[in-house]
Amino acid sequence: MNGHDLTTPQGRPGLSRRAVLKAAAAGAAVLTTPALIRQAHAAASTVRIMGVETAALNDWSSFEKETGLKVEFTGINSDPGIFRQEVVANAAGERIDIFLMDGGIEDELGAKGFFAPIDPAKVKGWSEAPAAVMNSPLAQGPDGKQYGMPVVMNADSFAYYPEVIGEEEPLSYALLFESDKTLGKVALENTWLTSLPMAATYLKVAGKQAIGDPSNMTPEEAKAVVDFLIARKKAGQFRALWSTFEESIDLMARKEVVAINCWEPAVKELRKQGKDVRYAFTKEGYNKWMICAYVPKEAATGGRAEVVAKALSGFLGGAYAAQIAVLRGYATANAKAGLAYAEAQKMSAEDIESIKANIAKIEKKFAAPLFWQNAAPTNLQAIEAEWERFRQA
Amino acid sequence: MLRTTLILFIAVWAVFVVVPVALLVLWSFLEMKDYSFSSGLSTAAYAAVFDSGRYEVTLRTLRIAGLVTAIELGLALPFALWLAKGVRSSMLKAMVLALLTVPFFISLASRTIVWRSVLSRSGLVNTALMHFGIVEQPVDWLLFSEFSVHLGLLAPSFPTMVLPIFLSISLIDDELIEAARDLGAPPAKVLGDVILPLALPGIIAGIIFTFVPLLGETVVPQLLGGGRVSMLGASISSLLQVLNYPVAAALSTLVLGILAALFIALRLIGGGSIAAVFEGMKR
Amino acid sequence: MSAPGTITRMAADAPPEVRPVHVRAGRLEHRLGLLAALGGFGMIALTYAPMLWLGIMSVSADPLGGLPGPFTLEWYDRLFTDRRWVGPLLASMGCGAVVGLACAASGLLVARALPQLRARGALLIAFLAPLFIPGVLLGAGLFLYLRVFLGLRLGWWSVFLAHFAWAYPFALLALLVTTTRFDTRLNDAAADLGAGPWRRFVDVEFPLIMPGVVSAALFGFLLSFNELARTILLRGTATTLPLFEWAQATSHSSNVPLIFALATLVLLASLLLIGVSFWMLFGRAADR
Repeated sequence: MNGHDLTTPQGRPGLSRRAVLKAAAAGAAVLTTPALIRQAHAAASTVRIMGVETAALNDWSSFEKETGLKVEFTGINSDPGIFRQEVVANAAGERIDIFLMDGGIEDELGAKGFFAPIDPAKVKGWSEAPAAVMNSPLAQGPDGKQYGMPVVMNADSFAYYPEVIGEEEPLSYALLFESDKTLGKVALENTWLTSLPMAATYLKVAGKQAIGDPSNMTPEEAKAVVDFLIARKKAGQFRALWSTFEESIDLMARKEVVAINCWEPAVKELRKQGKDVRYAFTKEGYNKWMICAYVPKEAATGGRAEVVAKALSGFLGGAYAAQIAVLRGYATANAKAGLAYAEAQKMSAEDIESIKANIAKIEKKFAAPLFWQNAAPTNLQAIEAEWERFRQA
Repeated sequence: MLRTTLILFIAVWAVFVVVPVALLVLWSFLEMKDYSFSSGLSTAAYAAVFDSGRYEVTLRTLRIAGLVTAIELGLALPFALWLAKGVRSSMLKAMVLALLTVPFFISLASRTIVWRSVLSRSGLVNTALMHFGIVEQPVDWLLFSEFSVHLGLLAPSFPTMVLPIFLSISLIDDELIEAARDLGAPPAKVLGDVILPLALPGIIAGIIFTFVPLLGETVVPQLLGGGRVSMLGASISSLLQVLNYPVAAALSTLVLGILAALFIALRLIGGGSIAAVFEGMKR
Repeated sequence: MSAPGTITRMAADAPPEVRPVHVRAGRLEHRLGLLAALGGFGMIALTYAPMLWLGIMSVSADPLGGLPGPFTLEWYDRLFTDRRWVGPLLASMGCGAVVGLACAASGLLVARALPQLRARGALLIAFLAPLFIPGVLLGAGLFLYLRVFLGLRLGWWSVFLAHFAWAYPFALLALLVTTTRFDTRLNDAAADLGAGPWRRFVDVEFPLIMPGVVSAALFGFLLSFNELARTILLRGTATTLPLFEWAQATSHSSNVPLIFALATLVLLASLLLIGVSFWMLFGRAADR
């Protein structure tokens, strides 16, 4: 390998130490690894986090400064299956202090005893965050216990080109599923998790199909929704299904499609390219999601509990909120702390402006009706099988 | 000592690789909840394979992988022969081998996503076609179609076919070929009677190296199939996402069954057996 | 570098009648050869054109959905500002090296013995078995077995095991192609001349099967370096470069620096590395 991509990062000892450690562990492979990992965890004030990269910071140093902890982050993707596997079968709780995962999963894993309930009194900043958010069904188990603490959130709809769709908002999800304007020029996210409930919401509000909870459908309801989607697929409504963030940007940037149910930061990227793309305010409502922090039951007692409480307070703190807002355009549960932090730290006016815009946007969207994205619907396997039927049609 | 090491290695392989693979077949006949399997046998998983259209995915995957493998073989065999026996300069040889090896380093997703700028509605091909007035509307089937999936799979699968064939042909003694020619054999006969039989192990290895990984390929079908050309890898991933191990196992068992059937059919037609492969290698 | 030396020495010392014979090419063969070369280089072009495009886009302002230019080093700048990928890259290289060495060593062990064994057919099937299981499912199978059945704690060792199980069939077949072709009478002849087992292996057998050994090690390294499907479930808290990119893919942030700039750097580095090492291994050694 050539020299420059292996340079030791200057002034970031934590990273380079990890890098060296990992390389050493890889080299020594089997035997020496456990010892090295123990050594790395020996420092008492390290918080070991495993979670989705959406909630990760590129640089944890200001978070570390605010909390007095060292962060050791293991990234996973948002696949709930992998996460379940880590927690249930792989006993991740033994070596991880905090999980960051899409909310909804606690209905299953909390109720089964893998997560410990969180005591709001021990978390600084909890009372400053809006109660409606903190008590969302995505953070509480079916038994009403507080298993999760909301961390990062947004309300998703779809992106579109106003030059094709028109200027007027709010828009209907009909543009995604049933519209001549967008025929053959729509892309959907390739997962039942977001695309099925959006279609269900559209059908429900349009009165075309009786559906109880779009994010927790019965097998019959899912079948009806997929029958509708298959009919639309046959009519040529959909151009493609996307799986990665880059794909969604690429599809819109070359106008391969003119409407897409993507993540909001994609719109930010597209506008940076000079494309007039907007993220829709809708009639029917939004796919509201949040990433929550969960505490494995093993980390709820003793010295680990102290570390956990500090880290949870950090996620409701200003340093974290300000960075997430600038990095992704998302809000944390205590977004206003981010604004205060940004102003105190004299961050750029542009950054402060975008933090303000985020707060306003979240307030508007979270007031809208409809569903909370649910990674653990009751009829999970039946819903997946129906989605597969749509993909195969 | 070598013998003890060998036996030890075979034992470790059996315990850590063969047993889990064999268990996959067993799982396909069980039902599972929360990481514990039911005790009774059931064929529910196989019924699910047929109900959700996954059976068609299997057939489609076999078809695409088969066609791509055939194209690779058609291009790779002459190329490997030329490279091994026709090229004098060892510098050129080393260069070509290096060029065939380097792509393994590059993430397939990076290599694949750029095809979109060539094949999309506003891509290079469509722009050219419309510029020269060959078509009036952009051609849709260039991207997100079986065509684009085949095209995207071609380049990544080429080295795995060429390398083993090249290896086996370059091991053929030049004297043997010259001797056959001195005895008056025409080129076609030299190829058919001397080179191909001796290169057979490499050809078989190349077919396996190419065909089997294609069965599990997920990146290209997603990025260039746009979710319209579903292949086995994605289908299995999707099942594992909802922890549906029995159906995933049933799907793989089905593929193994089809492969075994092909193998037996080949054996009946060609009269080959595994031992014969070794004999072929020894010749 | 004893092996190339040995070959050169043998070629120089050999009496004229056993000096290598070059295959003569007639006109027809020449033309067909050109056609074959054209097909092969066509595929190589098909491989490198996208990578060239990748390189060009890595210095362009809008790599996703845009056209080349205006040119900028922004993505490289970002790549070196946020260096979280360095650790995973080093880890992947280390893991690949271990897998490659293990594949070459154990592959050599088995490939030399296998053709002589009576149970070779069954053993070959057992060794090739993981090749026929789709990647994600082999990962799931190993996970359920190691973690759920045996209750072991996963980490780098299970990542290594999964990579090894995946790469080993490739390495073994590459080695078998050369070892089965090795004429065991050469060993007998060397023994008659008084060479011990070690000398026979080092001076006679190894130089002849070296291409297979190198291929085995290379297959091990390369297949491990980019492995993702099997690694996901067996990682414990280990992070390889493909795992890092996999996790980043759902970060809701642009990964253009990783997809374009890092891939371009890896391409340049591996072109250099592989080019030089192949030239040393094959190019120079075969010159005679």
